[in-house]
Amino acid sequence: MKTGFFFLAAVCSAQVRYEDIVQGPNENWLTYAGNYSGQRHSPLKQITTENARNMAAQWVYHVPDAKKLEGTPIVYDGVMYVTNSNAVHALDARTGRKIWAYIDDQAQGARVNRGAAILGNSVYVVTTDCHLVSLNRKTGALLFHKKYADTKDGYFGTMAPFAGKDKIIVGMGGGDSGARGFLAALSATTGEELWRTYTVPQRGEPGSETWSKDFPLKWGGAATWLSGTYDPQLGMLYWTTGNPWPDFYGGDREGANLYSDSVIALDVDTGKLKWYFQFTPHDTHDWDAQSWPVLVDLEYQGKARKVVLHPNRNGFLYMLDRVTGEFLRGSAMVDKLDWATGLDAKGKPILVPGKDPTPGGNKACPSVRGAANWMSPSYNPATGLFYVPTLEQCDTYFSSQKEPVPMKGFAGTGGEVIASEPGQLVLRAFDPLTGKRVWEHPMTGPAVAWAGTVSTAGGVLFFGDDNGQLVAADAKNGKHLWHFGTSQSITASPIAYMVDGKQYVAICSATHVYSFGLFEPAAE
Amino acid sequence: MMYARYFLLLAAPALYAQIGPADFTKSPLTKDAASIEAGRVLFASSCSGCHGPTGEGGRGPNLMTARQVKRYGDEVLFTAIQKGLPGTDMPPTALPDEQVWQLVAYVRSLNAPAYDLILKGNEAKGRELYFGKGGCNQCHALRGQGGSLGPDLTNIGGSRPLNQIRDALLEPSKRIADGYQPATVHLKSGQVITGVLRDYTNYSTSMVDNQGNLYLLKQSQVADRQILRTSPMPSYKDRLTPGEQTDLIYFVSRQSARREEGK
Repeated sequence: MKTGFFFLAAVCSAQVRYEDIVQGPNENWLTYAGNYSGQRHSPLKQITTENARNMAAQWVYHVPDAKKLEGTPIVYDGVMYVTNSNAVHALDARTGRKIWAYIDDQAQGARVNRGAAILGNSVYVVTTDCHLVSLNRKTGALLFHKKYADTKDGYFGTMAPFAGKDKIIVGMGGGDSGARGFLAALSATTGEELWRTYTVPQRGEPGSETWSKDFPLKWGGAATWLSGTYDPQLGMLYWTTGNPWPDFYGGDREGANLYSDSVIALDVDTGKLKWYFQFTPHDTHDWDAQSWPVLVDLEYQGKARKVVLHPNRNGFLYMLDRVTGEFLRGSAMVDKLDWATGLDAKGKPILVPGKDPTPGGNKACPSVRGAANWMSPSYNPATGLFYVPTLEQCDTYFSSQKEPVPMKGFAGTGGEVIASEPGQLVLRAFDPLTGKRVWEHPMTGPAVAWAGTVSTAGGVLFFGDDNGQLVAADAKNGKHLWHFGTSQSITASPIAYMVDGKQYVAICSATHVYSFGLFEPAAE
Repeated sequence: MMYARYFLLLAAPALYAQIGPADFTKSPLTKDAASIEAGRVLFASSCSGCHGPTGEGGRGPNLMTARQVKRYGDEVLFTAIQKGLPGTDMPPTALPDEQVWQLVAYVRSLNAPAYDLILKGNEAKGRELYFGKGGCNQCHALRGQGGSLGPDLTNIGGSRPLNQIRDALLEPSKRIADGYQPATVHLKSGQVITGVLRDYTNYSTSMVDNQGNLYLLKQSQVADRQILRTSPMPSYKDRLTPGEQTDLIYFVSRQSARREEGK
């Protein structure tokens, strides 16, 4: 397990190449979701179903000023990069000791941050006020600091930027206050903007006919606050979009409201839209599509397919052809789903009348938090299973016809928890070919966690539960193997990495980063 | 050239002689050097017993580096000074509002980024000194260009008060920045690494050399670790004329990551 000597010549000397990210996770964890496919599956197998019970904490790092860490760490060459609001901490991934920290005290406000990107010799992070920051990954020195959106237009930054080919792709938050969604590609070396594609069309552009004629498209929403995925062979970026605005009142925006609640496929070199698929046309429940598109190659109905798997907040699990966007199949992920009876042949929901929010309140399922959300799913090619944290919950939804006021937090009201019907988080393993639940792990707890999963080749699935615990389970059948309590609600997803021949599994709690590995007795 | 440090000398009148009309805060009462100077006099008589004569702490917190003080709005600072902080040793004061605002102005000046000040100096001459006579870029980087033995200066004006920048230039060994302790490490393999310590414990060491290489070492690899207690950066007190010091400080103080936005 341990190597006897640590070769200096190799220490932190090589650059992160595009090809390294294409190859996917190995000892490193190079994107928010591990690699371009977003499968969050690590090939590491030192920790197995046989020995996972012997895992122990290796180190803990307190992130200063942290209140609710939501990030996925990046690991490269023995260094872990953890983000907080306007901050990056570089840690020795074997010891948890800080190497450097970058804190931007000049950024406006404090918000969660979901992680960094890495490419070349740079680590990239966005600030709350939409600057892309490039830092020397070894020293923390600032290389560039480029503004890509203005808070005066309602934008803010929380997402993990995405190193797509030779570009850094950034998105935005603010859609729940109307800000018009976009994705932008910035130069990895200078931060100069290379292209920008909006997720709500301008009047006259294709898709604008899906909005009321007098609706101000500048305030259409459809945010892009989560990271995306990428197919290097097709040269396509895949990104999901948020809900239209106002979230809960659709009377002023009749129509499907493209490209809200969709997955969009863009040419990485030009930003040109190749195809789109909308999950929830004319959404009035804030069911944005913010769970990233997971790219899998599999055989479906006797034919090899390149597909996108996507668990949606609206309660359905989708499989699309990622070359064309064709809908292949979809089915309910949760029991508490009453707004649609199913999906038609094109993947459009078959609506149940009377499920829209009303001024007096109207019950609908899933809840406003969604049956799935941004907490990470994972896919294990060996088991062929897709692991998704789901939420069984309904809400009472309220609407208001008040004149929408952008950038003021106005959403046309919202959803409320039904006190007598508490929700429950359930981790489910789906067969993506059929949508069948192969196994499930119902969680105790208050249904407040936003914790995701990571799959490993050792046959162990790691996930955060609703009681603040990191859990190891057998990926084949869900059998419990090990757990560790953090005593905090977990709002992040675990990763796996290896340094000096030792495998680690790390996760952020609200305020700390924990790293685990197999227990090793002290040498005599 | 200089190591940014977490140290504050008494803000001497000579320092403020470099400052023109200042825009430390949003409060109209704290935009002029006279208010700051009046606050300094009040601070010496009313606050220094706990916060130290220079404001760098004692019984009370270090007002120059405390991040919560940096984040407080003027009104919060005003209320804290006037009414005290319940549950702490910070007492209320009977000073009139105007003098409390003067204290706010002074405390703000202790930790306002140098970029926010309107300084006297010549940026072009300062740049020439930085890359020429001063040789600053040999150890410090600006936007990725330069050495790695000293702190990156790309955002130094946007993140450090003028006092710290000035002190670092003139008395660099007084306090060395966290993560920049100079050291030489001999490995059991025979390799010798000279650079700065990013971190060291009884069990591990991380170092950066002047080429920006990062070394993560286990203690089992290390034969000897020699830590220097003085900065390798020379004092520029006698190396530069007062006028050159002013220009160099001006140039460095203008280094801000958000300069395009005027901050």
